[in-house]
Amino acid sequence: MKKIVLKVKVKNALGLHARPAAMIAKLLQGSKSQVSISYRQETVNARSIMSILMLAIKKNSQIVLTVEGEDAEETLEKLSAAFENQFGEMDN
Amino acid sequence: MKPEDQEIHLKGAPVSEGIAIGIPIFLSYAEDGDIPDFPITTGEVEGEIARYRQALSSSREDLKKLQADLSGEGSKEVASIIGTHIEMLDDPMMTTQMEIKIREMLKNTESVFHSVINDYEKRFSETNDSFFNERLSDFRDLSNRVLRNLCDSENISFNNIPPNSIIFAKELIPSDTASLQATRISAFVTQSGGGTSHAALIARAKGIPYVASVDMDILQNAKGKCVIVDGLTGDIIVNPSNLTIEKYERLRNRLTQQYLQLEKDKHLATETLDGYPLSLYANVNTINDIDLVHHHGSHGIGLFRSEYLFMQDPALFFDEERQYLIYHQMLKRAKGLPLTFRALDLGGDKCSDLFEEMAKEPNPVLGCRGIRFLLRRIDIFKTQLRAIIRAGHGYDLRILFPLISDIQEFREVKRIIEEVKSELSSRNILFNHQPLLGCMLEVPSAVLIADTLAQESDFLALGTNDLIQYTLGIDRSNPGMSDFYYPTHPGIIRMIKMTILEAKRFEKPVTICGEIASNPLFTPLLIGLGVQNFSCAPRFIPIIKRTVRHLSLLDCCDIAEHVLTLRTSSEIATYLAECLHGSEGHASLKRDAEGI
Repeated sequence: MKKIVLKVKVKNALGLHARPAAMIAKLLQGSKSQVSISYRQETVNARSIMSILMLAIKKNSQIVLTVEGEDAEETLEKLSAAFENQFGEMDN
Repeated sequence: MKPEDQEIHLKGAPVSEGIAIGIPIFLSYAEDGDIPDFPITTGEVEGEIARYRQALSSSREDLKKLQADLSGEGSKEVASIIGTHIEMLDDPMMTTQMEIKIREMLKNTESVFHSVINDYEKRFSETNDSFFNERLSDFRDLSNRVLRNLCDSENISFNNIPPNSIIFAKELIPSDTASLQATRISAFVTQSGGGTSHAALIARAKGIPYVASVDMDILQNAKGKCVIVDGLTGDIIVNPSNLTIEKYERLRNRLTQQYLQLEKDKHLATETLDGYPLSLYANVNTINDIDLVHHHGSHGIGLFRSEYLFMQDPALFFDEERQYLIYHQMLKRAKGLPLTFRALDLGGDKCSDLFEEMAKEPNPVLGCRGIRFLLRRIDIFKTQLRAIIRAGHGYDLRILFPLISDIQEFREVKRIIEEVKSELSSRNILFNHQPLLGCMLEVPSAVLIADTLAQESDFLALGTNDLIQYTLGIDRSNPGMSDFYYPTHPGIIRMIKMTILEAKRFEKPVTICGEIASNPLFTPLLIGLGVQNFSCAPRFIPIIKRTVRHLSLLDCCDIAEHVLTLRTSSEIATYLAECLHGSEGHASLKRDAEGI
């Protein structure tokens, strides 16, 4: 079983609000890995929109993604791409 | 008359307009004390979990049905709120986490659920961020729904309530509001909740009158009595006399007629009978008001009173990023229509308790308010200016400065803006390099130097409410003095004329913003004086447009000329009322001109 840890920066203007959180949950539906998000000493299940919201992650925050499972690499690639393109919210 | 036969008048905050006459139905939701709480044995755990899953699945079914109904009705925005609720139901926090908790705590599902939800709520409210706080009401709504499905108590089904009901509640849950049949509910009255809540949005979408901020304890004795709700003024009358009922029935019929007519006119141009075009802008206080601007077919936002954002949220004064995000959202929602930001207009009656600059002023209206405050608190001023011009990058941006009384103040404002621009440039931050800058004329001295102000600014705005107050020396917030408050004073009319002439001389636009811009009584006079831009609350836009469409420019000029010969405010008021009655379609305009 593979476990990968990656630090990413949240670039969305509004931070990780409901829409990106829902996109993360959706994106993980096809994945077999356990995925968690850590921010300021708290770690939550990345499939839980509400848990992500509760972290109240703002723009430019550093968060840590931990992916564990047989398709860890593939899952992480998709996730970091989503963070990179700001969940499709780059409009200005 | 026995006391119980008397009319009781209450005033709340108007949320959604319309008039209702009906019988109250009191709604109460489960409160802390009502949740059953008892221990269970390990043998009962699976049964409790099954019951919980059942409650979740009933909630999901309810919501899906509701969503389908709403999409069918075309209430897309509301349907998407419900969509969010459905997604939240599938969240691991609601599913697996809860099941784990039931096993751990060995208590009945209701009490476990209640304590988990309370924890979540606490966390949500601690984030102290308006964006996340908004989610809190969704969350409460959802948990109440699940709880009701769990407790299966005798909750009122909205489908069984009698026709002509007025719903009284401490707080309205949005999905409940959405499941109501508009045909049976005639109004909502609540203690909490306000203009921007989801319930408000739904009420407006369905055209149900709604008044908030009403103390429910006072209303308890309204049970079984007739109640009138006026969603335009916020008036609530319990136990009205027959005379009052008749008056409101007439009013309701007239409003229905008028509404149908106004809806038909919405897409028509704002021009006089002889084709003279005018611009109708909206005054807005919140982000959500911008949607109304589009709904009513307005030309843009003539006045955004930015201080309203800060009243509930003083931390925002120093938070440039958050201000930037809000302003940017607003500009985006304005969809290319011009948006005029009025810089913070604090002091007088607004936020005077927050800053020591205005603490305990003997005469706050003549004290540290408007531009005077901003020039003393350059830190707050610059933060807002930075946020506005950054957000305005690529948009039609206008900024208006309140209570300018001397050109020196406006020059100082321009100097500060240049400073802000060069700071931003040196940090390579994008911003709007050429926002239009305007002076708000609210004190007589500003009107007397209108030529100078017009020369040195990009546009002018006449704030007639304050101008009347300062010109006549009358406190407009003192109801005891309202009989000396004369909007039709010849002095005021001359000031408006003077401002328009000077602005025209230097080819600068003038917008008229005060209450007289939303009063059809004044429309012909203002047009005759040369006013081309009106800015009023969104709900008045249709009525002003209709008034304009029944006037001819020539008649308006005659009216203005005649008014300028009259010597007293009462003569002017009488003459304007006569003119209005003489014009077409006067019956439907009467209410707005005269109040009720």
